[in-house]
Amino acid sequence: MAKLLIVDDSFILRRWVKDILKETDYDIIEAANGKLALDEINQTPPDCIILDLLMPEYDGMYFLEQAKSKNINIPIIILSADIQKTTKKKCMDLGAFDFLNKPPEKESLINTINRALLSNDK
Amino acid sequence: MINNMDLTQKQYDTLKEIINIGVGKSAATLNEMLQSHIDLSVPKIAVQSIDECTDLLLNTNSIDKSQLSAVKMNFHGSLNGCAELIFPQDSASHLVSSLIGEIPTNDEVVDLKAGTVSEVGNIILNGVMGSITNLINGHVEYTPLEYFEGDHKNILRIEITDKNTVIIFADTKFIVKDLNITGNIILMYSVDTFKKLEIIIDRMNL
Repeated sequence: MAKLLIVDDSFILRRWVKDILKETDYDIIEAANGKLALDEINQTPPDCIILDLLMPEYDGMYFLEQAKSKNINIPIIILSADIQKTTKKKCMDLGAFDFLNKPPEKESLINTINRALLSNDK
Repeated sequence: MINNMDLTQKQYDTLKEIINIGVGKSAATLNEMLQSHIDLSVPKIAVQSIDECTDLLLNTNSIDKSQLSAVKMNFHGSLNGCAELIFPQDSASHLVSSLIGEIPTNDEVVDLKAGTVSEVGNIILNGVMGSITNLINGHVEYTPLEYFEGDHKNILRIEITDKNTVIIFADTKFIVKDLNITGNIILMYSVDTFKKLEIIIDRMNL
């Protein structure tokens, strides 16, 4: 069973994403900020990460930088309300697998996760 | 004194259109989230000094004078200022039940209301600001959202002490009739000089 890590400081958003994914068989774990997410990865690495950008205690951009510098090869899907083209480019340059905007759309989110998991198998 | 007359009609119209596009994008997102039609008012836009803007905020009839729930997001970069999304408390409760699909119990109502209004505010305010910065080929960095509850005097506080600061103020009211929800999107840009504003608006007209 694929393990997904949702990193977002909003419990409403984490609840929202879990609700969207309830019919899938992913094993979902959560972290409320980038620091807790890095701790989680060190203990039991997930197969895919869904990452918010604007968070206290290591924001998403810092998390991406850390993942890149530590060669963490887990696909990271950004899920952010920030719709600026410049923000998306910065995330993709830092190695994000894809960039989705909030609110999450079911089909798009599941398709992107499946693509990310396939890329991780290669 | 600085007022709207310092903008040419073309600049004023362009500014209004930029804000209209941003608010429209956010209304479309809210429409998808709530699956209900959103009525938008024409944005009220003013370019004023800090004192005039404070008076305008406190005396506007557009904003409910009862207890309010609000989220505020500061930004800096190509544009500096803040954006606020404001709901009367009743509307905030209706928003929670519409999105979460349940009526919260007394024990969880505070957390659920704060969490839901914050996340909706995150999406709506980013939608407005992101559309605007994309249009002007700019970029802004955001500070984490702040959630407030209180009356309009507390919530509509302007935290700028420099009396020479010029504010571009925009207020759009939205109504979701089906769900009995109303709210306001307020944008306040501090523009260091009118020169910067003119450059941004002229860039739009290229």
